[in-house]
Amino acid sequence: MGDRRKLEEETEYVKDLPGFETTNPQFFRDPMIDKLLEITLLLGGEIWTNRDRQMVMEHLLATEGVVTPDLIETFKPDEDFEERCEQLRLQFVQRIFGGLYDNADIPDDQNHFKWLTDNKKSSA
Amino acid sequence: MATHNQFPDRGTVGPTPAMTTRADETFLNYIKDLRSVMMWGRSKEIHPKINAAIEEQGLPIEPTKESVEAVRTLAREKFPEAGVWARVYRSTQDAFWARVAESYGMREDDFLRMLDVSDKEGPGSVTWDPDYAYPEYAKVETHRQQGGYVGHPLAGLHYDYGTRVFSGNISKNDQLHKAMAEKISPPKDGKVERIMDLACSVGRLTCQLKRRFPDAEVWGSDISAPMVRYAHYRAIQDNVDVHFLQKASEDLDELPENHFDLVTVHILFHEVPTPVVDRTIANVYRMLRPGGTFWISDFPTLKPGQAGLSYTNFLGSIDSADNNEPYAPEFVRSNIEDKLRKLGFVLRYEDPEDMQVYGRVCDKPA
Repeated sequence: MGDRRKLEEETEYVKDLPGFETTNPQFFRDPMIDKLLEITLLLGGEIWTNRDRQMVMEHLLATEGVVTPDLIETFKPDEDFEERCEQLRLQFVQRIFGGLYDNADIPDDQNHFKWLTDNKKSSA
Repeated sequence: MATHNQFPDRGTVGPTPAMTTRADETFLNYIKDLRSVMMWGRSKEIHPKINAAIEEQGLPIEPTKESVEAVRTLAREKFPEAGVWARVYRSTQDAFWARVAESYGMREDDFLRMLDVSDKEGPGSVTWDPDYAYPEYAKVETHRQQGGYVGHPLAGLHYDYGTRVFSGNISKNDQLHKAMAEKISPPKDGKVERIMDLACSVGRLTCQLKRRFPDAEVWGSDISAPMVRYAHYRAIQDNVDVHFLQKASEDLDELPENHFDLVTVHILFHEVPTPVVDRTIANVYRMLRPGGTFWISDFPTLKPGQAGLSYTNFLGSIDSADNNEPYAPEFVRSNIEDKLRKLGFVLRYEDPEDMQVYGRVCDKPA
């Protein structure tokens, strides 16, 4: 670490760069819209979490005849349950938030970074 | 490895400890899909519109706070859909890192004990310094991760789960890192006995390199002690024999000369300031044996005679400022190829079409 002091001097400028420190950006004319949209996005997560728990409980009752907090926590869904859950979750998001855009369909492919592993070279 | 007794054991996701509660996991899956529908699935429609306006108005996209605010103002005034996109990006980014930290935080003491135990176990090893003083530039909360890479003792664990949410399905089973390891070009003479994976974070590429070159001695280094400690734990879960070392890439002059056959670095350079990039590539040249190969995957930078930059747009602007990527603009405005050539590297490429997987490949002359 011989030239640590020199490096610190050379990188003194970074403190002024955007993104070095945490910002509180505003993307709408009224900052309250930023706050309300964030609250709504988070609220959606809380509603979905309850819905998921209800689905797990119903599944456990139908298959095991019993439900406990530990059974819910350690529940390992099979592929069918997981796929159905993902589909319902995507529909939930689209239904609640799609109206923010003119057109917010569910993307056909959820792997948005697939181009990274495709065998064919592609531009980034 | 059981890590707790207060919460039901929810097992692992691959080598990664599962979230502490099902509610945390469910919430994070929701965030992943929210980003898919409202962000990634919309970028191609929304970004070109505001990018065209940026160009039309001649807004200078520079790495300054004023320039970033001008782009935000444009979104506020004329492109509410871009505002929605940016708000979803920022709010979901903050929400998932917070939830990951909160969930693992319920078992923090257990995880710290887990790392203490795995520090002493094998296969492989980890070397780190509990008294290491991090340089200021490294203390950024990159990607909004709470505490960043160096400021939280469980940063590696947070990063491992958080990046699953960030990049979605591509993270499953480390498939991106597998693809990279398969495509990395070895030295032309084929000799690969020692590999160094710089800025290895949680060691995904490091482990995949060991799988591809099973007879090689494979090392991963990173400035962050929490990252290399967790990388070692993760490698043990997969029974991969690799060695991790806490070392800033600018301090690699402390390692032997002409030692490694292959040095790899994945997405470090846009996350460190230019003086660190320059020291790193000089150190790599020194560390490589004659005929050794340096493989880099990162953002594209300036090409000879290039007039524009891909990062001079809406995403580039708000990503650097609002997703805490302060060093990316200066990296994309540099010319890494020129720097490599000046050091003596011989480049095997002119213009990498896919910089993330295929990478930039260059050799130290034999």
